[in-house]
Amino acid sequence: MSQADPELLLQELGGWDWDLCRRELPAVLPRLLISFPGGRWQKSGVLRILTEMFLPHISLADLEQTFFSKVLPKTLQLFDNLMYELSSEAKGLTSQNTELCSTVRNLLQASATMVQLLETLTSCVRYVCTLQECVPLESIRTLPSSVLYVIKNTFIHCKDSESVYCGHLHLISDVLQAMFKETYSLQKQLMELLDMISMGSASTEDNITAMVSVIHTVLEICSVISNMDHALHANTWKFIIKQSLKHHSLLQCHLKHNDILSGLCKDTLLSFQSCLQLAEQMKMSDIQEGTDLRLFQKTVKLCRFFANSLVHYTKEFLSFFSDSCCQLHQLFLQIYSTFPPSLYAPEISEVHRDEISRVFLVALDPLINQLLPFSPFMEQVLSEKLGLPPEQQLPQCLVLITIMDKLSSQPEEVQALWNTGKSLSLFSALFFSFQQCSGELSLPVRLPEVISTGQPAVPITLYHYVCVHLCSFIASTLPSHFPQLEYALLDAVLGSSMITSLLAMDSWCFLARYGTAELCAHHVVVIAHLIKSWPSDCYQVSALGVLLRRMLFLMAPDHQASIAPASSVFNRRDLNKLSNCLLVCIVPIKFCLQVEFAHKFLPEEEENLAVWQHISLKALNPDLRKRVACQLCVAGLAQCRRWLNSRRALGELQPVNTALSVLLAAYNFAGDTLEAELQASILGVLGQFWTFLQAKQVSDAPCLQQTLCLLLQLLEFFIQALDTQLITQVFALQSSLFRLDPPDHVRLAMVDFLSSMGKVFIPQEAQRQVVPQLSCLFASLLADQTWLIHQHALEAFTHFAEETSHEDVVPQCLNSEETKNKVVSFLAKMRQVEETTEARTERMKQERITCSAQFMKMAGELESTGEPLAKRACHPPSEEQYKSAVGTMEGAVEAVKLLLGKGSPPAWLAVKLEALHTAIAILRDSVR
Amino acid sequence: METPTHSTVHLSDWQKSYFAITSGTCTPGQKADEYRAKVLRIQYAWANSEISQVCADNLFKKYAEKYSAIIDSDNIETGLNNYADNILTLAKCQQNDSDKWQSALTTDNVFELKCVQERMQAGKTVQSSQMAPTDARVLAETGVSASAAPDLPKLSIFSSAGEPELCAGSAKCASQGPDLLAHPPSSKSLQSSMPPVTKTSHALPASSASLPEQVRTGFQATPLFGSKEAASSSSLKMPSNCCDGENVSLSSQSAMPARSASCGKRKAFYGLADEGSAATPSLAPCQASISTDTGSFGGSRNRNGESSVPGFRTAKEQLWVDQQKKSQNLPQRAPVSSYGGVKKSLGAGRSRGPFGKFVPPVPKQDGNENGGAQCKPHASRATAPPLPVDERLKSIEPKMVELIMHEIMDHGPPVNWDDIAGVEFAKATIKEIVVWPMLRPDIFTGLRGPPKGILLFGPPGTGKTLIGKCIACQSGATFFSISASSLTSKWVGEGEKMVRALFAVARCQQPAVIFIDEIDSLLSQRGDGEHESSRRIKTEFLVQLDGATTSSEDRVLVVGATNRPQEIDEAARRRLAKRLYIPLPEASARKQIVTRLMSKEHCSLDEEEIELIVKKSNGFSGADMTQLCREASLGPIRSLQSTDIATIMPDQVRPIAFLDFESAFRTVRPSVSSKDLELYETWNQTFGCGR
Repeated sequence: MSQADPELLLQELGGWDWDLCRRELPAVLPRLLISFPGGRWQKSGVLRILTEMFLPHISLADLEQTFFSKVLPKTLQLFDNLMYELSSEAKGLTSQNTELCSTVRNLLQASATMVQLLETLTSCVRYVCTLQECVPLESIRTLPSSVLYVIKNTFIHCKDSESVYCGHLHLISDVLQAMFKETYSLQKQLMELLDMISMGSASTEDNITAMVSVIHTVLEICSVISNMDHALHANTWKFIIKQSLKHHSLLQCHLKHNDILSGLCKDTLLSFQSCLQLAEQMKMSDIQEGTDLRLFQKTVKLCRFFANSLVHYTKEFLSFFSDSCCQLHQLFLQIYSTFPPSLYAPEISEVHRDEISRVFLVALDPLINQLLPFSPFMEQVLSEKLGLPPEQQLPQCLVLITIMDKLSSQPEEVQALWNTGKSLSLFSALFFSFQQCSGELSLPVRLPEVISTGQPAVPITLYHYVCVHLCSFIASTLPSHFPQLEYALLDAVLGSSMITSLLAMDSWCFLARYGTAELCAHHVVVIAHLIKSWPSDCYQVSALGVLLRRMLFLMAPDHQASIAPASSVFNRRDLNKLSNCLLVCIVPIKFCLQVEFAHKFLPEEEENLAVWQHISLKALNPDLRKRVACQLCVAGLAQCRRWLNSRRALGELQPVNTALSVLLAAYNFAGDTLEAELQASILGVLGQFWTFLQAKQVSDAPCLQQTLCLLLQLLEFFIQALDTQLITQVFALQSSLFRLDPPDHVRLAMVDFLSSMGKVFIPQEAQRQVVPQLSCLFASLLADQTWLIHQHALEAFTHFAEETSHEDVVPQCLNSEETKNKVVSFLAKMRQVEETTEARTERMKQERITCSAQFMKMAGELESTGEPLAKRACHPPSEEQYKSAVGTMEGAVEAVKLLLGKGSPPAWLAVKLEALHTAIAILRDSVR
Repeated sequence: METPTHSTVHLSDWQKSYFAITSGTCTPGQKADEYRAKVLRIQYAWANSEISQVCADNLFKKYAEKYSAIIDSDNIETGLNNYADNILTLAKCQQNDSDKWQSALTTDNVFELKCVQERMQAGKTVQSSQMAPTDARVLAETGVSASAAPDLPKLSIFSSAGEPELCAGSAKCASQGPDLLAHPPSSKSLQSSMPPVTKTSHALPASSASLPEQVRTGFQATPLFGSKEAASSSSLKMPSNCCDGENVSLSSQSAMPARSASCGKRKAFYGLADEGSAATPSLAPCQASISTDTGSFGGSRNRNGESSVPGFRTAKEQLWVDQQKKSQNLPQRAPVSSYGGVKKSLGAGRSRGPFGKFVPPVPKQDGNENGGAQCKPHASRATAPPLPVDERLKSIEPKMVELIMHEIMDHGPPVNWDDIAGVEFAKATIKEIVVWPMLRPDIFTGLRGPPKGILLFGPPGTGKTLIGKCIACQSGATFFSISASSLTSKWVGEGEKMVRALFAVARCQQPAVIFIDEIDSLLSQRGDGEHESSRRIKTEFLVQLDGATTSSEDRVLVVGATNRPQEIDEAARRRLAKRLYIPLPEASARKQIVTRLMSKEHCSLDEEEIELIVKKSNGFSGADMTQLCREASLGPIRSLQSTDIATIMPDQVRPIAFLDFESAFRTVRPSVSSKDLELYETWNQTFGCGR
């Protein structure tokens, strides 16, 4: 055996047979390792010789010691050299010179060597696989990390090939592909090996560290190959999940769960987005054929795989996710924000949408179930300071609905977590989130219907969807969580968003019907008390009023007939006694409750008028209605007379207005039951009011405007009983007031009044004066700048024109050509503008900014009047607080942008913006 | 402020709602939606400062009133009954503790709630700032009194006097609740926001004062939880038994959409399979064998092209044909684009930034989750066709799928109806029930739907196999030609798996025709003495053919051919719904055969001679006729006894003459006996579907 020349040694080795190799192993191995410090050709050859000829003779126990720990570091060195060579020569390719050819050839050779190296490694790993069923990690510890190093760097090289070989990729692509292919099979082989690895229950720290580092390296590989190959990517992830679960108890404290989770989330989202992209392309190019579709289906399946992996992983390691479950929440939000029916979703066809939701989203669904008992997740979802961007508002709402749907089947403590936890209750969170969805509500966005009996399944509006699901959740509310529900409902009714109020009212009404009668009655009393004490003329009062009116209907007796005989004996003084005795009688309880209500808020007492003005007397049973209407009128009249006979101070007008609206309510809902005598005296009082009203004063005093509106509405009931003088007065006032440009609600009241003029025959003597005023008013209102007034004027005018006997007035009202056209097209039911879906969606996105700016403003007003700042707890600010503050800032900037788009800005704006700019610069500096 | 276009759009929106509501054809649900749309428009108009708050309020009240009349009404025609049926459908399995609900609100503590307090405060601020001057009077005739002169500050004494009192009142209750507000700063801020108050001698309005009074008394009263508990238990709950009724009808309902959904899916798939061959070959894994060589690809295209009979070419097919032509002209297109980063690139990496162009060369695997584990490294087989991807094949052994894909699927030369002589009735019937439905699945639905199976029976050599092939060609279906013996013998013990695999593959390749020759050996009468495995095969076959696992939407046709129809199991007979007798060729058909075969040869037969041959060949089958012609064509060669066969020129061979046929008749005999024919005739009269 030659001692000196390594080359000779190699030649000699070529002739060795199996036995000789085994015998000479101890002697040759060190020599082979020492003798080849550099020279990649030889080294590579040596590696192969080592693997093929000598590796089989080493026992499993000695593998690490004698072979891997010595050979692999050298191999890695070789690999690094090769890599370096490849990259540096690739850089030379940039210039198109004469050497190009030779450089490329070198490069090819280098790659070929690389392929050889990879092949050798693969066969090495494959050999270990064949050794034993179950390989202990100790005996091959160096192998996985070294191989993974090689795999990772090769993949990185492949991934970067585009930029590394800039433009010459086609020259090298086949070799590169061979390299990729080899790496692929190397990785597969390694995974097979790692599957066979045993760790034992009491593994050493070293083993655990090694395994953890394997998993983390594979995770890194995952992020490298995420764009390259679906199957490889999925298999790599599968490996990570499988290994983590397999060695669950040993590794759970050492794994970087956060990284794994975020990797999974990221890849899920990425493949989901590429699904959408594909679907969008298919939709745009309007083709349904093979290639794209198949790729799309594959990608959807990949998404499903990720979703399943997430579910598996989360199931096992949920307790380690305290800090990172916001990622899962974010994942949901991001997925749903780019998926129909979101306004921000790409346009894709129905089929693809179905496929995605059928294959992918369904798989994601169980995740929520798993997260429900996890309180950090709850805190994240219900956080008050989420500060979500506009496109994630609807997803948040949908997530909450999903949670609601699932929660009712959860154990009581889980329900308690969501309803009575530290943060908002689920109810409040839903209302808050719903309020932010104004754009989607206006569009309206449509969602799949809850299948109910006997109706064809059609998509329903977002409102309907939320309402149904919320109510169904309400139906399952536990008694112990009822206070939270009540609070959330009340809060939402009082909120500044009308549609949210409406939702709260709808759910409250459902609650009233679903719960006991006593509960309903109790709520009615509470609401009535609130109204009574509320400072009048806030928007909250109208919401409460509407709610009270609706709830009172739900209190209504079911069987009027059975009550009638009993109630006919009523009179006012007996009320108390009777209601007590009725409680024990057979009469349905609801009636008693109404009586009780009427008793609690005695109509004849003036302070209760504030409540009664909101109530529809139709809800009461006929006898009660008649009596209450009469009492209300008497009380209201008394109030009015007192004011008229006093100094008629403006400051005392508020109760008069209340009295007038009570009269209105009485007329509106029980006008037919009032006695003629009473009616006459009311009309008399109304007449008196008109003599005092002055246009100038009305246009200056808001409360007088309100009086005027109420008077106008009341007059509608007496419209046919008006005498000449009163008609003249009313029109004179309206005309002169109109010249002073009254506020919109007054104009609206005028519109309503004018529409009722169709019923009247204007007396001959008044015609000369009234008719021109009437037509002039109509003409001006029809030309109103505010589109809402204009629209109501159109409706009113149509109504008037249909009924009136003064046909000659109609053309006089239409003095301008434009107005005439508008009226004609309205009558023809022609819509003036047809908007495309895209334009509409865009408009909704814009309008949402305006709406949220308003909500923010109103919330701001509440803040300033409410809790003083000094009382706030002094915690260090959380990240959420920053998020929310910055979100507010962004919203305001958007709002300013919007305003600027609509007209010229005031002069100070530039200065102010400059100041803001400076302030932001200072903030930025302080962050750095 | 608002640009005209925007308000026009809003107006138009509103009018649309208005017209919808007033149209009279609107369901309550739609009406409710329209009213909600109005409320949203009002909210926006308010937010956008188009209307004042009071106006928005009034409008809200007006439309909320109309809206609630619909929502709360339980009239089925006009109301929505609070969506109760929807809600209870959703909530039907949940607990119902509504009778135990206890309100935590009382008339007292409701004022302590944060939301109420904040808003009442805000409301008061607004109110006091809007308050009219208390000393202004409304006077008759004389107009505004002197004290309300414009230059007087419009302030209310009420605000300054009333507020502190209120604050004092609520300050008392501050001790009752832990999270109550600290009032002094806020009241200060209220006061400081007001200009100095002018002194007036007027008394406070009584009712204004009563408001804070009310609040204060409210706070001071001790809370009375539970005082409203009443003894009665009568409630407004929905009748509970309605849930059961809904349950039943719900399940029946949900079955319907599911069914129709699957039907839709099936159709979509059918369409795709039709187009599958139009895709670039390497990307159509289902068409595995087509992708292996372009020659057979061309063949299949050719066949498909022919199959598009002008009368039945739909627009989609036309497009398909056009695309075919294009791809023919650009054979290099697929390979180029797969690396060039053009639109049709391989892999998912496309359009994902700079790395998009790197395409891994390793054959893509099925995207499903278990792809990797079972996959062995097969770098050397990179050119092998990709494995089938369909999910339905997952449970089938890949080996069998491959066998079926490669061995059974037939890609032979195209066959035309004209290639089959005679049997006009059978051809017409098959066209009607098989080919047309496969070409136009949209028309042939329901009762018109094609049968699952056809049985062609008749004496041997009458063209049954040819008809089967023709069905496949003319309908553009994938053709599986399989002999029953191969199912029974080749994979002993796995026969039923094979059958299952066969049908599974066929379903993936819809529309498909499975042609089974000598079907009698597969589906013979089930008896006691038979082998267990053959019995299993039979059962599996019957199940697959029309059993629980088959969908009515599957477009898989089984064509069986036999010359022993009487041996077929009765269950199989039922499933092979159309049983067509393929008789011996009639005179005209025989003539056609002879003419056609002879047209390719050098022959000198005249019309009369041919007629004579046809007459003499009565009772011959198609195969016999061919045999006869074969024999006759050898006649001229035999007559060359003298000369050496090796040296003769082809043109020296004399044409085939009638003489040759006469001698041929001496050796070729009809292969079907008249007794056999009688048997077929009887069976045809009992079970057949033809004349």
